[in-house]
Amino acid sequence: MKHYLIAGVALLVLSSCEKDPDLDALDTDYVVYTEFLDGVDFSRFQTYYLPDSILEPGQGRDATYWKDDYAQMLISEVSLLMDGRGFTRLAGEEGKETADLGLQMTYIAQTNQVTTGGLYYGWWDYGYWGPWWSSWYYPYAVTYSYDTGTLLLELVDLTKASDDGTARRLPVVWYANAQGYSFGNSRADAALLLRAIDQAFAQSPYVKHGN
Amino acid sequence: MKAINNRLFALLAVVAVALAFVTDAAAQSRYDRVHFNIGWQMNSPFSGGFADKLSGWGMAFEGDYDLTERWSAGAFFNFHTNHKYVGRQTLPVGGTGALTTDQQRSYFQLPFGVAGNYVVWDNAHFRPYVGVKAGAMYAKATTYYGTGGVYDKSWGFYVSPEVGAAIYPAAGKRFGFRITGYYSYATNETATLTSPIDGQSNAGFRVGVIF
Repeated sequence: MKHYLIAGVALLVLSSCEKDPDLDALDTDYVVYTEFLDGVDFSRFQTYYLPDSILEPGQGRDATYWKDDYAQMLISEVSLLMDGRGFTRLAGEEGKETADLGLQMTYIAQTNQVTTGGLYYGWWDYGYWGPWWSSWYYPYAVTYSYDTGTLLLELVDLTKASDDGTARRLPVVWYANAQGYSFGNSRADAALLLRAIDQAFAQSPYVKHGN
Repeated sequence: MKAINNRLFALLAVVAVALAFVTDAAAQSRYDRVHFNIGWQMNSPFSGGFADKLSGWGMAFEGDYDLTERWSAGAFFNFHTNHKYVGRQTLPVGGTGALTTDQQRSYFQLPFGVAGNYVVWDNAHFRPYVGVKAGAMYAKATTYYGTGGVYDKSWGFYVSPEVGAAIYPAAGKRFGFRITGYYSYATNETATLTSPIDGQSNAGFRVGVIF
């Protein structure tokens, strides 16, 4: 009977043996999602206004603006791609008031903290230490963190502004969200963001002026 | 309807566990008629294409009671995980969205229930058989991408015909080896990202011990 009990416990342990895949196989490029407002005709827009800084939301309503060389590189890339689609960038306060489209760039840096403990499916294969180990076990709490970055591009339709000065809600006609790991290296992170911007436009061929 | 299904599966689980206990109790009085199989399993899902890469991340457990010299009945459970890496691609989402990412997919299956076997040829060293397993299956489909992932769990009905043979190196002894080839089908439905699964077929083989 004792043998059967041991076998039963072994079965229960083994039943939890869902094998995790190799997540290192995933590439480091950002996941890029885009969406547009159904029915919108992008060809009717001719000009756009793009600020010379990237908004970084802070706590509550506090926000800062990212303006360094890396930010300028990202802004230039967006501008280059918009120009390539037949749009004309306008500058200055007058340009902001007369442009057909407004393009907002936002970057959200986030640190994700994870606390774990107990039974744990680690990165190392527990078979590495011998076939007699069945799983990992932390008898105390363990905390680790990882950084992620999210870049948002939003095209808002400024032609919908009211002439009588009453406030209206800005319709976002195109939206791009690029999200991935941040490596704490400005050059490497900027390279990933540049590729994400290129991808956002590549998968949105409808964002163009004219035919 | 879902609540009824959950109760039905819970009932099936209770019946399976009870059957296992009955088998265990019978082992003490009719030891020779009770035997167990523990096997390593190679499995490949081949419908749907969600995670159809052949893998050996699985095991099978079965306890049987010999009703006659050729017929036996018992209970079983097994588990298996299959993975599939999908390279970076752009997926349409709805009518207006697009998502670009690579994916690491994982499909975990845990069927359990009752088993019946018929020995087609009885020899002291070699006993080929045909069998069928039926019961319920728990499945979890996970798609990892970017810094996270999505998963979906489901319950379904499970049926699996199989052919195999028990090989006894020493005639008249309990210990032997068992090889099995099987096909299985489960009605589980899961949906992650853009890869829904509506019923899952598998084929594979098991190599194990019988005692």
